[in-house]
Amino acid sequence: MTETTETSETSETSETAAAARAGRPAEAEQALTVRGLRKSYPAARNLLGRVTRTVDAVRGVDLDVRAGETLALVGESGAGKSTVGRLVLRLLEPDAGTVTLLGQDVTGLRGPALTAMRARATMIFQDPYKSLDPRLQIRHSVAEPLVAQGMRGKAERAERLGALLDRVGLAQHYLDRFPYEMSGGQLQRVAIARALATDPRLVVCDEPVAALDMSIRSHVINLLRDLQRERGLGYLFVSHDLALVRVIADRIAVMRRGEIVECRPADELFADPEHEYTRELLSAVPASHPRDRTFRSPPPPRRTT
Amino acid sequence: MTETVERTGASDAADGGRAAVLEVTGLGVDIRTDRTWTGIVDDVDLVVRSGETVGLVGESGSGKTVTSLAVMGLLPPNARVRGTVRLNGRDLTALSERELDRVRGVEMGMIFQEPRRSLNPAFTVGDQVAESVRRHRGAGRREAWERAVDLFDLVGIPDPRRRAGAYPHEFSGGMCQRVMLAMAVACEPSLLIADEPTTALDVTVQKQVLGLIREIQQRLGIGVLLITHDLGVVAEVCDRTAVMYAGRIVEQTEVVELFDHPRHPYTAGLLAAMPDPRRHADRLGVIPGIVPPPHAFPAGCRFHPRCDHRREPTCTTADIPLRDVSVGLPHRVRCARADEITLEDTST
Ligand SMILES: Nc1ncnc2c1ncn2[C@@H]1O[C@H](COP(=O)(O)OP(=O)(O)OP(=O)(O)O)[C@@H](O)[C@H]1O
Ligand SMILES: Nc1ncnc2c1ncn2[C@@H]1O[C@H](COP(=O)(O)OP(=O)(O)OP(=O)(O)O)[C@@H](O)[C@H]1O
Ligand code: SF4
Ligand SMILES: [Mg+2]
Ligand SMILES: [Mg+2]
Repeated sequence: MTETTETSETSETSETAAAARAGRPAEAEQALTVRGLRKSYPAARNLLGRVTRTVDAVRGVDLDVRAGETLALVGESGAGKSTVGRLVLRLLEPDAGTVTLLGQDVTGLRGPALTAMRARATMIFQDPYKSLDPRLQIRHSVAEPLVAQGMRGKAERAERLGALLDRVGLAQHYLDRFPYEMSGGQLQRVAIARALATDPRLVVCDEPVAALDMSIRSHVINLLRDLQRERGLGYLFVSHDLALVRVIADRIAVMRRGEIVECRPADELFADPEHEYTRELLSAVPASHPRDRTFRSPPPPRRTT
Repeated sequence: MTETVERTGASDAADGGRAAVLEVTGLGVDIRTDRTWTGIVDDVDLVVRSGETVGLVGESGSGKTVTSLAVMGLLPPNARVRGTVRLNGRDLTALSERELDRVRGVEMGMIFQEPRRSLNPAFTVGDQVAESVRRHRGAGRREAWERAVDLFDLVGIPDPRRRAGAYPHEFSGGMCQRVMLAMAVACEPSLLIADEPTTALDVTVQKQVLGLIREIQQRLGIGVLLITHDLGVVAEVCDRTAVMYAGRIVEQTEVVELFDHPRHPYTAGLLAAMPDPRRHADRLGVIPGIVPPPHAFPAGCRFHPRCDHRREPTCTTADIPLRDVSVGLPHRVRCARADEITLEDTST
């Protein structure tokens, strides 16, 4: 890492990020602290509706996300990544464990306190066509969290909406559109605008670009990155795309069968994975250039003309 | 086979000392919706030789699946096809449905994105592969079963004899794709068409299945047409690659050449947008704008509304042909300004 402070306009944040990557305790505020989180789902019921078998989806998870930091949560399908994301935001009730957001234990929150918490921690999902109400104009989807927070003034709301759309790079006329009239990339910008409407400190991003086309994906990633810089957002970034995670995450938590098996700064984890399963995951990252390919074979046939 | 005389004189065909298994020439597909025909795929030329993997890479809606369905003769009835598709020299577009069905089972194998959906949940996987062997090879019951077990062994299913008696729901996605691959290569086809074969699979399984396809291809000398939206998959297994954009092939060359010296601004943009897992990066490269739908393909170069190198009227009026720009290695590109512009060198 060769960071020279005077060349970079964002040196402050990249220093924080570098500190985080190096595993140094940063002074930055703690956005999220998770301790001993557990959740099991009913997997089978008998005729009387009693649960006869359960799946232990999350089995004692600890996590920390600092302000301005991206913590990636990776692991195979069914590892429990999305469940962790939903537990953090209290979209699901944990069986055990605590979730602390910005220093406040939110585990037992109810009513107005829970609503206020939902303003500070929000979520972006993989498929915006599913996460946004198809019957609502974009204007109403984005305004919904503001209304929920009790922002009654129409003029104030309109101003906020305008600024949000502007910030995610969409023209104002999209406010009057419906989801089916927009592309996946545009709609994911809408989802980001909605997630940012209440000025949160933590955003859980669950596979936010997995459904997007290659040429659109990097726009969304860059936007998320810029917003993080501007606002000091903490991201809990759930993804199965290790190449992407390598590039954007400060730290990576590797999850397997409901447990975190390794959680380290991204550079370190890639350079020197400790856990067997992490090694297995890393060896599955596809090459970014054919010279680095795993499957060597006789050179491809060549034309002579 | 007496059709060899009909072989096209395309220089591609006999090169490299290997026989062209698949030769697609001037392929076009239109699809009718609400009484209007829309051009989906246009002017596609592709050659796959035995023992090589040719990638067809492009974003969603670029026409990859439609191209492969046209090759397999599996397009829906509201589609019309132009051009020729030759498999081992024989024009498939001239065959009856019955003859095609035979070709599909014997000379051409196929695997798709959702392996589980291609399997019948009511029969054991062994029965399904054996049945396919019986139908296409006329083998007896017992012989077909033995062949199925051998095939399961070939595709790396552990304890193949016991596992052949399992039902699809007892198999993971990766195992189902192995079963599909076993079925696809049961009759030792000369061509395997794989449409996003690993997209639905878990990361760790993806690479295993890619490695398996590669291994089987080399062992049996099959030509593979691999369809993907993932340049990482291309980097891992393809020998040559065609890049598709808005229904047309915009660039086609050897895989290393493509990654080192892309000549089409779209290809260069895609490569720049790829995260490089070797380092932490601040930003990823972007391509402005969005992929147009088929009814709104722009005139001239279909990429022009998104291209930083666009010039009027060169890029915006007449169709741009795929031109030879080979320097040492065969390389074709559909860009009117390929010789004038300098693209960022993506080789590292
Ligand atoms: N609503 C539910 N009811 C029952 N079981 C569930 C439910 N949601 C998830 N599970 C199970 O819990 C486990 C963890 O699921 P989760 O969705 O958190 O995994 P994930 O890591 O996000 O996987 P993916 O990468 O496929 O999204 C899985 O075994 C899943 O089948
Ligand atoms: N049966 C059909 N009727 C009408 N339009 C169709 C039909 N099949 C495909 N299309 C259109 O043809 C275009 C190309 O589709 P195709 O499925 O070949 O894309 P693709 O490159 O395989 O994309 P993906 O990566 O999403 O699989 C799309 O715009 C699609 O909407
Ligand atoms: S033809 Fe023109 S618009 Fe199209 S890729 Fe080349 S330079 Fe760009
Ligand atoms: Mg999930
Ligand atoms: Mg497709």
